Amino acid sequence: SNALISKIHVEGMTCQNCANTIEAFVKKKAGVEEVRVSLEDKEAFIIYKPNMINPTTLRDIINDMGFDATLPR
Amino acid sequence: MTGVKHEFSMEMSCEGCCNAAKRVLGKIGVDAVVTDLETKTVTVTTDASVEKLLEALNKTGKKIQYIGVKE
Repeated sequence: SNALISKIHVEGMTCQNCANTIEAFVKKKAGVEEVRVSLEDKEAFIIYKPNMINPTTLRDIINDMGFDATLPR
Repeated sequence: MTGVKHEFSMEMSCEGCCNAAKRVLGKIGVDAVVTDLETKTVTVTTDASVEKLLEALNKTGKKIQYIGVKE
C-alpha cells in the first residue's frame, strides 16, 4: 500500500496516558494505519493512506482533542 | 453569569487530561470550567447546550458521561 508517514509536533501532553489516548483515538480514523506518540519527543508519528486522509486533517484531529499540534515547517 | 452549571464525569488521569478538556471547551466558548482529578469530573458554566458540550468533550477521545445540572 502506498502509505506515507506524517510527523506531528504535539504540545500539552503531560503523561503517558495523554500519548496513549492520542494513539488509540487517531488510530481509529479511516486511512490511518499506525500511530506512535513519543511523550519525551512531543511527537506523533502516523502512517496513513494519502488518498484517504492528510497531515492537515490529522493535525486538526489532535488539536480538537485539546492538545497543541503543529506540522513541521 | 447567566450560564447553567453542567457536570460531566470524564476519564482522566493527570493534569494534561484536565487541560485538554479545558482547551476543548475553551474553543466553543464557555463561561467557566472546573476540573476535579479526584472525582474525575468536569463542571462547565455556560449557556451552550449539553449536546454541544458533549460533542466537544467527546473529541478528547476520553469516556465522557453527562451527570446533570449542578445547583
